[in-house]
Amino acid sequence: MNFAQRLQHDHAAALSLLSDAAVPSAARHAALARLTELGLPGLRDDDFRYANLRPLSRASFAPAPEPAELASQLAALLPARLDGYTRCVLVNGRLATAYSDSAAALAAAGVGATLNDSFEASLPDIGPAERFDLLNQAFATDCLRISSAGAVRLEVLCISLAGATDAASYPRLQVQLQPGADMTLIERHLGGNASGITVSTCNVQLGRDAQLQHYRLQDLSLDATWLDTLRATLDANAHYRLSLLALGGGAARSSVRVRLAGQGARLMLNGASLADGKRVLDTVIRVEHEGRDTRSDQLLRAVANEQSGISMTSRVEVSAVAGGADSRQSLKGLITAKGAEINLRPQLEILTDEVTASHGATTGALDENMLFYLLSRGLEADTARKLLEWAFIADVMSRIEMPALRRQVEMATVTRMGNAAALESLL
Amino acid sequence: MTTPLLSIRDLRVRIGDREVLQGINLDVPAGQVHAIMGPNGSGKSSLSHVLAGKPGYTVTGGSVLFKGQDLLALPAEERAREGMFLGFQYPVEIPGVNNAYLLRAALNAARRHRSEPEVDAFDFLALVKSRMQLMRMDESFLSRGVNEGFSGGEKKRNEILQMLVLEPSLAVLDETDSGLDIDALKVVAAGIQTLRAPDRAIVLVTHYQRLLDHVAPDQVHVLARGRIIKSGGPELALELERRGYDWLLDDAA
Amino acid sequence: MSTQDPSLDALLARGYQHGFVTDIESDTVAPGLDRDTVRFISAKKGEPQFLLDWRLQALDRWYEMKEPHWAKLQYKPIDYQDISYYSAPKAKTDGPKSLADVDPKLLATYEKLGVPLHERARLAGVAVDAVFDSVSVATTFKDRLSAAGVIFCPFSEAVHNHPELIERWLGTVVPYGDNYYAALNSAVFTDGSFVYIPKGVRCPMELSTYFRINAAKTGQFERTLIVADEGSHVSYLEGCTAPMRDENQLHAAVVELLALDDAQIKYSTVQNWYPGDENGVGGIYNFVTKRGECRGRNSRISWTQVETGSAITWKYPSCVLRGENSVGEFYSVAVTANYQQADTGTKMIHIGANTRSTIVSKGISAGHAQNTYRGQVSVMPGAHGARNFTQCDSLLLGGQCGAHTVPYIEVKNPQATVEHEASTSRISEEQLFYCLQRGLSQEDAINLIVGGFCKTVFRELPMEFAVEAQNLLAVSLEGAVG
Repeated sequence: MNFAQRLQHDHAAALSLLSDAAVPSAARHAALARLTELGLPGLRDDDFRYANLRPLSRASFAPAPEPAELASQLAALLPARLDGYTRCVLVNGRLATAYSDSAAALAAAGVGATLNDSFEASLPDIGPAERFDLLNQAFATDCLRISSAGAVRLEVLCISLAGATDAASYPRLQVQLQPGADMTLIERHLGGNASGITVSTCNVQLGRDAQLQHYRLQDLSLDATWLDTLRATLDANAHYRLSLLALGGGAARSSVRVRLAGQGARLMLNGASLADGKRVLDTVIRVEHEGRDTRSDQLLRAVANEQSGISMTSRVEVSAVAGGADSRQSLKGLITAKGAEINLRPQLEILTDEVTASHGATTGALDENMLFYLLSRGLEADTARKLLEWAFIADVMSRIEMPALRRQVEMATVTRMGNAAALESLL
Repeated sequence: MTTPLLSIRDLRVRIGDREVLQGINLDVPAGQVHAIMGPNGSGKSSLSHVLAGKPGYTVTGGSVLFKGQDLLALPAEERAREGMFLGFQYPVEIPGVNNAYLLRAALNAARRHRSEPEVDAFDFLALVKSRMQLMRMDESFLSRGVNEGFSGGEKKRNEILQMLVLEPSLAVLDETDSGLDIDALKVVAAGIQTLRAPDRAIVLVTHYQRLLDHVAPDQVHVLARGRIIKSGGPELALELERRGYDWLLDDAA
Repeated sequence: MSTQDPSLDALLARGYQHGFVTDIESDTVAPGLDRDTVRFISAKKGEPQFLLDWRLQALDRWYEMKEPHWAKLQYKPIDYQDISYYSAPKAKTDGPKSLADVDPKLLATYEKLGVPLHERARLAGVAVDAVFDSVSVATTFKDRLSAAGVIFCPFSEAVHNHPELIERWLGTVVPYGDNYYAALNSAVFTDGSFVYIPKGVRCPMELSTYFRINAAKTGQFERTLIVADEGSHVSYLEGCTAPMRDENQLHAAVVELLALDDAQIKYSTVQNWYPGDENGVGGIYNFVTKRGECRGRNSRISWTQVETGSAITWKYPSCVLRGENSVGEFYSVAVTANYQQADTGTKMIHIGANTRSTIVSKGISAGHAQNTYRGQVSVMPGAHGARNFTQCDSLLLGGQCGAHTVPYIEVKNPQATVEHEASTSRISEEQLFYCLQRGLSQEDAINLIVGGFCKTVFRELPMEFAVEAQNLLAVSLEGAVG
């Protein structure tokens, strides 16, 4: 069967699992039609130049049924609780009430609210680069809607669990911050297995003056395939602080698209990808400056170990009416082993002269002068190297403003880097 | 004279095709301070780098004995653990690695090397803080990245701080006085003075007399065109200050 | 000076006298492109079989290819079957009869650029006798080159006199199937330049198409091949520093450079084809494939370009750094004004160990123009110690133009270092005010500041080119800022 036939087949077979409450059936069909029209990205598709989409050629798109027994597998995956955060757990894309906080606590955090009508329309279009959002729309089994007008701290854990059969997992989040709202959202993708893909979507709308601190951590297993889409729109003076931390997955692709629609809207994006083994991590970011005096700062770091490949594309577009825009991008890659690969694409598309835009990108080995300095102070060569690799992503880590979360993320990172003993005292 | 702490014999060094050291002979006994002076490009920094084991230099002849063992045979980190400290002329910035971590890692590496127990966090902090007071450095320096965003003077002070924490038996300070204002120079000089001890030696690589006003040298050597062309007592430095290097270079030529 | 020298006559005459001008002056082929068109061109030029076969293979490949649309360019579809792929050079009476018939705007531009009078006529396409001052220049020139063993001649002449060199090197850097336009060029190219610098020879002078009489008529599908043998050096200047009158809208040239061990090639271009008028009507479509291969150890290829002309520019002079320690360089100024569009940049492909490359790109956009830098730096797994530095700046003059930066940085070796920096800004108001306060006119102030912005590229140009490039810049931006 070709791609279109597989989509149709899997969709028809899964109909009983696809509720209108998650995504209305008309929207599902529209998404299927559009995805069929776009097809799977080809080898020459520039938007997917560096992604590993091979697992898609054999994956089943049918959503995983609700797992029968959760406790044993989940216990190992759930991270420690963070003080002051409401917890919400999705297992294979469905809300798992037994592991989440009480319905009342979730409601207090705005989970399960009804979103304003403006939500869908405000989001950036789904372009060819974001096409896997269509896959999520077509097959999502649940949709976690969050809406808040006040101050909220929420943790969403999206767990993909191994099932008996080939099946996919479709976590779907919609986040709407009312004007002036202030939210910290921690979104983690954990688990994963070879027999199923995880196709996640997160849509965000920030109202006027709203602030969202959004941490996204992907730490799926080495054999997992992750296709992720994040679309966000910022109204006037909204401030979006987004951290993208990709540590896991065998083949991971994240497409991020942020519209700075309102005057004075501001995006601070920090991203770090760290890979070992033969992982292929691909992040494609598109930031659209549409309002006046908008600002975007991006700090992206990649460390490719062993045989892994990391790619980061970040395109900043400044429209003709977005005078006063200010955009900065800093991309840095570090390759620590023969066989590893890093691809960076910092791109600018600028249609007004009233703009300040700059970017810098470097890829290379560890700085010899830094290494010698550490050696001259008596550090072991291996420790010195690990320390400098750590330092390479430290500026992204240091921007995780929550100490408890930072510690968890740092531990996960250090474990991934090997020689954890040498670095632990650093944390 | 007892066996010198550092003994350099006919050291010849190249960078690429260029011979930067053309037969250096130098003995530095324990307990002494030696000054190495000379015009720009004379090989002063090359000598410091070679002693510390910086890559990029090819030793083509000669020997260096440190505490009686072949210094050149050791990798850079082992030289450091044996007690050879280089104060860099241009200390590199290492964002993301904080000063406290580096100091502690370095101190413990040396202690392990001497089969001594590692210092615990409490003792370490007490030690560092006392040294920082001496160097008039603010405690916030500890949590900043190594030399990150430091001014020239702050970097030099940080080098001396590291030296005071590590307590090396031989400190080679490469133009530690350059770029310092008068007050900072005094602080740095005081720091160097506290390291003076009968079992240690200090080599000051410098252009100017002014550091030597505060740290009196036992011996002064003039390095030019890759060779030591004159050695003498402290009075030689004063003479150089007065007359410059040209008279020596003419003699040597 | 010796006009009796037969080799001199050959150089001066063959470009337009050889074969077709005299024999087939009345020939033109009907619009359209098929195997017969290619056979016709090849036969008219009396080419050997290998070249005809090569052209036909290129045509077959071209049929299979699709016109690329990834560049940030917008233009009406080109009907490739509506173009005449061979027309004998027009009779000299076709052009303007005298300078009095020439568009006064064009003449005013020449005046500003300081083009000598007789050159103005030639550039404007006025029918002038080919024998003027440059003959004497060409004579001395020819003598010195032959003494050094350098071959520098029209491509079609090289096909006849040095077929073994052409057969050996043609298409080895840009194969006929490389891309759509290269395939088209390979099938239908009419002429161009061929340069061979023998082992160990330092070419005694800068080679320039400026001296190649009839260069303006070499057509829309120019083909240039430069081979620098071991240890040789050559500097080649391409183009014309004044707007060339040209009736061909589509240009698809191919330039191949090959540097063997220890060889160096410096290739400088000042491109000022007709950009269209201030409303975006007319202008040249310039789809050029330029590539150099540093095949030998320690070889070096340096591209310098100042692109101020053409309505559409699609051009990525590139370096394949195969030899160990080889060096590639790309210095570019691209100016777009009115409705011009440029999508230009470079590729540096690091294959050999310790290969180095430098990219400096300065894009200036004014009016409604769109200016894109598109560049790729690839470090292959074997390129230990490879280094690249890229500096890529865009300057916007006015609120309706666009500047785009699209780099691809692909590294597959842990011992390589690639650094890329880019900025986009408008002219600093402080700088402008400073100049105005010192009494400069707004236009002079802008020229001064833009000149400073481009300085790192201009200083890579040979001296006389640099001065003219500076003048060109001023002319291109004239009236662009109000």
